[in-house]
Amino acid sequence: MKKLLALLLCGAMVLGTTACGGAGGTQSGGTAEQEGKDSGTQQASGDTQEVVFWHSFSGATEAALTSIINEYNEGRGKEKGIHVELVYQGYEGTDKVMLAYQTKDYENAPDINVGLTSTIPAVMDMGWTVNIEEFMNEEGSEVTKDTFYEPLQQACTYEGQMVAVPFSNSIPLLYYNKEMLEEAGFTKAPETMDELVDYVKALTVKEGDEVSRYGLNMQVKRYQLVEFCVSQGEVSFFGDNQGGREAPMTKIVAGDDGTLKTFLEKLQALLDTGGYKYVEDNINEEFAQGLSAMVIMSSSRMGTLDELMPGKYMTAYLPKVNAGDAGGAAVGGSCLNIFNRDDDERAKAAWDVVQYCVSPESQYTFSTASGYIPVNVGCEELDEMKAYYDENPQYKVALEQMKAANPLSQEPLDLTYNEINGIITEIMLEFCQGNSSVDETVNKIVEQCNAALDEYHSVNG
Amino acid sequence: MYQIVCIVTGIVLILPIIYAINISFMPQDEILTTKLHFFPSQLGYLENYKVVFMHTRILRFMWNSLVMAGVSSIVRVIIASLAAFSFSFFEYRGKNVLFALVVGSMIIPADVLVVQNYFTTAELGLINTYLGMMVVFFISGINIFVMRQNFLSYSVTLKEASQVDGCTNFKFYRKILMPSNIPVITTVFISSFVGTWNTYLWPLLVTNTDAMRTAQVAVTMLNNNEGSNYGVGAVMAAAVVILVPSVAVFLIFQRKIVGGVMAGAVKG
Amino acid sequence: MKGKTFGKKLFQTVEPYLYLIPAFLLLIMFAYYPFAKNTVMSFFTVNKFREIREFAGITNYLKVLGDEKFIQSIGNTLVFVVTTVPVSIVVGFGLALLARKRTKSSSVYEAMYSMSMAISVSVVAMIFQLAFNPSMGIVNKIFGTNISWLTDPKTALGAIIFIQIWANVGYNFIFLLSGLRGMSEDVLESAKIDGATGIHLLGKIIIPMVSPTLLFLLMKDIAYAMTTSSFTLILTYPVFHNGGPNGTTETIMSYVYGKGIVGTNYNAAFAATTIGFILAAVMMALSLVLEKRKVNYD
Repeated sequence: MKKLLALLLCGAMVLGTTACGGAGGTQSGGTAEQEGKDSGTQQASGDTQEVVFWHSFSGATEAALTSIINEYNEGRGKEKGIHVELVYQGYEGTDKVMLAYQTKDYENAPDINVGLTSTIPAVMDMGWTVNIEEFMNEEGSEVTKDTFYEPLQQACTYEGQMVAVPFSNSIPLLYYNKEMLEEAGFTKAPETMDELVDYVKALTVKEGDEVSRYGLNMQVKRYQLVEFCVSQGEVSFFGDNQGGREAPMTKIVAGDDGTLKTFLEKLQALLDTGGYKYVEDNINEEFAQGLSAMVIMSSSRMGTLDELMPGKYMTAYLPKVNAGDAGGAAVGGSCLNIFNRDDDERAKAAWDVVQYCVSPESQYTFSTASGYIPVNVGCEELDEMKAYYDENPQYKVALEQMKAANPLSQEPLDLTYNEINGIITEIMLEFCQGNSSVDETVNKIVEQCNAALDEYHSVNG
Repeated sequence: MYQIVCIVTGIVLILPIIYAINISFMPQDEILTTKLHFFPSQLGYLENYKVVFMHTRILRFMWNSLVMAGVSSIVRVIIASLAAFSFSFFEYRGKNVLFALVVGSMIIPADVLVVQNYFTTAELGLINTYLGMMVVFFISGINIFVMRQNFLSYSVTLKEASQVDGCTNFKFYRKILMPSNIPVITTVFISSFVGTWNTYLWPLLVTNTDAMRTAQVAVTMLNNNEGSNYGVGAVMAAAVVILVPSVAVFLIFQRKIVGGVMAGAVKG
Repeated sequence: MKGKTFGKKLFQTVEPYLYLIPAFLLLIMFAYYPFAKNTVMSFFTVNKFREIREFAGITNYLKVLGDEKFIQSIGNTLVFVVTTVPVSIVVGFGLALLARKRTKSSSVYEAMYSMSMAISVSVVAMIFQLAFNPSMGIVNKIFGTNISWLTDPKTALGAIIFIQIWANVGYNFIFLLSGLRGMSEDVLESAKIDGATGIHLLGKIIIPMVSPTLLFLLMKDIAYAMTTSSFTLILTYPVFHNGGPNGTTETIMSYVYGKGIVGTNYNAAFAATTIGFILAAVMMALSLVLEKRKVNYD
């Protein structure tokens, strides 16, 4: 009997708590809504113009951006009555803007978003995206096209207009372990892929059949493949319509112009050395651990490597596929987009923030923390930047490489970016495993990418 | 001896967790070594935890997760038990079809529904609210299923007896059925709480202010593959920090399930 | 008077439905409506904004079924089901048998056995990503091997299956333990007196008695395994941008995710979802047949 009583009591307690909990639930729902509204009203109310800035940065890069924005909020922002709210969104940021656009959710969208340059065509399809060129052409605008290096202007250009603002842009580099190259008797980095083969042979260490140190680690995905293709000759475009910049891209041209095949032949020579690791497990850490002597990856990894192996590495230009190539590496990375949600004043305020973010001083802060290239031509003139470059020459290599490249050497705006990345990654893996010949690989890449583009146009055209 | 076997087995099972805890106390160069190195060589290296607390508003995020997981689990228990009550103690037309619909919902992959549910939630104006974060977690076919299974083994005659005593059906549910099925309620609550606490994509999608972020997001904020990040140690530290509440809930309520006070959660 | 009895009768008829209202309202809103919409749209051509362009008949289905990668993903998913489901139930059951007897330290190892349930998929993934890492990871260090577990086509699926089993065991354990503890001791004792021991006791007495729990776990694990994608998406997508290497870890749902969410090709994604749903439904139906024949509710 006692037991039964205890049972019932227990039950009553559970029901009691659930009831309270239920009430608590609606209450907290209410406060949350209020909070949401709060920031909403703050945005609209009176003197302070709120600007929402979505980003995807982490680590030192995020810290740098935060300090730039804090400076703005306390200085210039205060004067102009503008306040920026910085929000981390992960890589879903651009997708979320698109979802908000589709649901006409004006309240829950940003004014500024960091998005990959390859998403420019998709972002421009949205009605509320601002064409930045219009802002830059306005009289007295402190930022104009000429604020940026030419390759960066080109990177943000779509259908003849510079529609977005270069911001976190990087360029691929060859990173090498200084000590290891020295030990092997090299005094400079390899400049061509033929040289790279010799270096890899010399730098690879084997214990029996097992490789204990790779000469080179690099997984060829869309990014790497595109870089090696567009750098060939005077200038090459990976896809038609100048790689989708003059008009939407409809097919791959790297097969017909031979750049793809040439690169694959050189890559085959690398594979034959047995000292080239073609899959990336933890490329940064393995390089830092001395398990690979060289790696090829984006300059945006320098910030991380400075943490992992300070002073032990140096960078060099992306090796040329043919000795005579003059195209040079293409910039990649992300740009800033501004959205005007039926509020011109607010979009103007966002533009003011963006201009501040690309100023030479801000770019100094941002670039030195991350390895992204300073986008503003005035930045390298700053004394602190010069001093930084003297101390950290590996950062200057990125900038110099970009300036040396043909501005038309660009990543394509391939509309099915992710799908093409998957296709190339998959086929290149088969190639590196030895399951597909050079010619087969060229054909497969071209055919499958073209099929993806065809399907895109047939449903979205 | 028997207990030692049990405990050793347990330690083997939680090795991955111990591993994560150890890593969270190691400096970067110690993690990066290629030599076998299970335990941190020095005690009291807390840099990784400092990074977590300095660079993310993790306490706020954890509070949000707690509200989301706690409230939605309670609501879920109520909704699921009502449905299970209906399925196990009444006879009516269409019961089998309705139950099949519940079971069927288990195999509708949640990931696929995310985008469409976003549209629904946005239309209801629930973006950036706790309710929007929780509403999709109010229902779970699996919970209805497990509760029905449990109630089925509960004597129907008992219900009839209580009716003779003039007890209404709802009173029976409230006063007798629920109190005597605490183990299953606890089980559902725990699995629901832990499951909701651990979701990542949905709360990230329907919220876009820092004040509304959940704990799982903190881990990815520290673990950005491209560009710079805070290193594996910080990620593991964040993982350990957000593990604490879910393990705590677990330990507190777990005794209720397996404590043997009342027989049978999913009864045999 | 008459009205009252009529009202009472009416209430009696609707009462069971009333209890179902909240559940079904939510089920319809957040499961069946979006799912039905996906299914309807799979017969149309839709653009990247998920807007319907034209009627497509079964073209989308033919295209998906003609994609060898999708066929491969079905194969992988089935492998995933027939490995993770039985192994994690058997291991969970074994642990529950081990922990059934209450001892002083019961609560310690019970907590240990069920701990994996408390950790989020993304954290589990991160821990094992590090453990399986060829250079930093503990696995190679312990076994003195030099294997890239998650990027070698020979080991990747196996590694992911292992992780999934580890993640499932805690949940299965705790349900089975409460099932075992709920067993009537009398029945056990009398069986023992009748001379039932070891495997016989297990097969004839214990398993039938926890069969409802086993069925529930079987259903749940199958449903989960058929619709799984998490570990593939977290562990191999960032490296290969599909369920690589060589498609060996692609599951039906990761294929859907890759096509739809990543590639904004909803035509393939919607059709693949429907096919995946049908396959999962068949598997569920098979395990429900089992319920009718084997499960004991007495």
